Amino acid sequence: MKFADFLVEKESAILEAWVDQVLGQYPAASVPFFKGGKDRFANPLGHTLRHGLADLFTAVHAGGDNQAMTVALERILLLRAVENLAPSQAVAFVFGLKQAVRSQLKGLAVEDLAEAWTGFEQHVESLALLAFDLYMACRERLHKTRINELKSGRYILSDGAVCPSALMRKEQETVTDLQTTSNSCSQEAR
Amino acid sequence: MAVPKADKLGVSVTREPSLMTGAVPSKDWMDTPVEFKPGNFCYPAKKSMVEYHKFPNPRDWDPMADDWKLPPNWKEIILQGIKDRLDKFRSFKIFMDCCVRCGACADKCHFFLGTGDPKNMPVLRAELLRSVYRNDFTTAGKILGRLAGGREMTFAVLKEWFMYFYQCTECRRCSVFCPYGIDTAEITMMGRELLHLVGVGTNWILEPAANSNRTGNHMGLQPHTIKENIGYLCDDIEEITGVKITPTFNRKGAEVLFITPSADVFAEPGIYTAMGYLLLFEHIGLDYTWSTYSSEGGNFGLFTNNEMMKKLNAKMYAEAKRLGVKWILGGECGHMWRVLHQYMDTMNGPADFLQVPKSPITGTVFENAASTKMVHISEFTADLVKHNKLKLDPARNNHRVLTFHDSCNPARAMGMLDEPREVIKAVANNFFEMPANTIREQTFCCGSGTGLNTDEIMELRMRAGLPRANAVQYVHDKHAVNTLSCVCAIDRATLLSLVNYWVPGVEVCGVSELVGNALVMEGEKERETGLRFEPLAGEGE
Repeated sequence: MKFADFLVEKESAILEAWVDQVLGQYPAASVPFFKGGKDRFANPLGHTLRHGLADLFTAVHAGGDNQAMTVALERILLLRAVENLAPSQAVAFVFGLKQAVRSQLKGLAVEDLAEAWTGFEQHVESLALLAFDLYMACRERLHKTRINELKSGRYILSDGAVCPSALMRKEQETVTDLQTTSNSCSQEAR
Repeated sequence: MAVPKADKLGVSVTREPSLMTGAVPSKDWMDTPVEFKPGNFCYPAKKSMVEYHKFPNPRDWDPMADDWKLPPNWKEIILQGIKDRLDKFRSFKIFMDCCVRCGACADKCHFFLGTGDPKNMPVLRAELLRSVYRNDFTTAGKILGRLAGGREMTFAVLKEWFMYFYQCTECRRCSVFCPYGIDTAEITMMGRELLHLVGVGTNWILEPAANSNRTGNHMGLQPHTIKENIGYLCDDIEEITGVKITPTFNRKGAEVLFITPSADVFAEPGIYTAMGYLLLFEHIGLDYTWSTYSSEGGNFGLFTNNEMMKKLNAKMYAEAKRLGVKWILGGECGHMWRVLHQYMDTMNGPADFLQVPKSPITGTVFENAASTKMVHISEFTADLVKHNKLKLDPARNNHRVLTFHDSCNPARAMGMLDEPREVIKAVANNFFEMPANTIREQTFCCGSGTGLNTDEIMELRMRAGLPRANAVQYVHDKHAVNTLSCVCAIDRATLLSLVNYWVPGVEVCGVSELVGNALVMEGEKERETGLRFEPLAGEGE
């Protein structure tokens, strides 16, 4: 069997393993719902991840077209970017594809594995880089959203004309700034 | 070399406390502590705000610290607080007793759907309080403790309450699915009341409540500022339509007092909704007045405690009495209508000094408001539409492909589902509904109501708003919907941020803005733009 045929034959098992990995990062009590809920409106998170990963797999399998991968990745990264994860955590799911494929390779004889694996790995690596770019774009969009809220005057609703939250934040920032200054001063002194 | 697992490539991806909530998935919920981190809590109330309200335990404190500077007898205060409320509110007692944990509500909460945190399942969120109730107020709990689902009130429990009762927007979607009709919003309300007893609250709620109490609106706008701002809106209306409008303020003897959220006269995109009100009232020649003292529809008392809610609600009626109006017309606000329809009558009603609202244009008597004497602008406008009292050109909204977000409180708390739709269909040509399980009674919250609309928890807001944004995305993709209309001021503010993140290319508007665009005013000039100076379809393209 060729590697390309293997990917076609084992597509659903690979995807299942990948989805399990990603959903497994949510609290255990919630995973059955995210995995099981089929209605895309009643289970937006589960649906987005499941279908996003499937589209991504198809795009990688089809040769790693950047545009197709971007579309599939964006929905997932929009989710990951607001989950308060470290950037590395947010994009680590991409590498899960390699493990998912590897798990299905066990015991199978794939003729062109050595050379095909190199190509496959390259796709996954470019996917990871793309994911990082998109993660940053999503974070950027989030910050712009926050700035727009402030600039539009809606901050009055969300932060008060006399801006209690902002005042408090300012106080906290002042404290942090002072601490940073004193830390860097002491480092310089050393 | 061992092959590293993908989930180890990131830093502590799995099986460690969720960075969002601190929840650890592998343990029983009772043994899962919460952890406060920047971004997962609203800033606590300032000492001066707590003092202003004469609430207990004013001090500066930090939710991330180990010491919250609680009073020494805080536990007794909380338990006594529960007892007082069980005696006072029959509903609270029933809701504490009658849940059978069937799980019908579990997957209906937008916070659960967006965060995956089990404690955001409404049943479990309620259990945070119910477990303490069982332990101290039921025989089984007193004897069997944890075996009967009870647990002692501890500092860890208090922290949990502060975390999760501020991850509930009291939208009541879960209650729609509860076979017993448990109103989980009221459990959150009780939870927040109890927290205030020991000085645990958020500034974003207490400061607007203080402003509202002092000057009559959340923003602390003084009378001259309100008058001036509405004057600016009238200037814009004149520039766009050629029609000069001169509304009155605090006018005694007017037939109708109009009260709307102060955001409508101050913040985008609410100001365009206010321009719609002004045009509508001018169009039909309504004898009405604005008040600069009761200048807020919103009632942050609903998010604080029942006494505060009563006090702020009473101001509207005191002003109606002072001005001698016949009835009150209310603008596009969310929780104002929950207070009105579900609590006003027992708190401050019946408003016998007012008359049962009757439209001076159509003669319709609003029997549904026979006791509160207050009518929603969409009900009022839909009645005008039904009786063909408005001259409309819906083509002026052709640049908008619309969908409608049922704001939680008007939809679920007052049952107003069809009126805004009737209005939209009369004033616009392109309207598409979102999927059935995301609208009407089952509408998904914006994710930022009940005082959670503050930017320090922006990520959390985006996650909680995911189910709503997901449905908007669907109609945006399928029908090229470019405008999300709604009838709530907080929605107008928060949905815009939500779609900016999830569905760029969609704008947010109030229904009355669409009405203002479509109204053909007497003596008007040809309209070249909409109320936000945007080009109309076929103009400037």
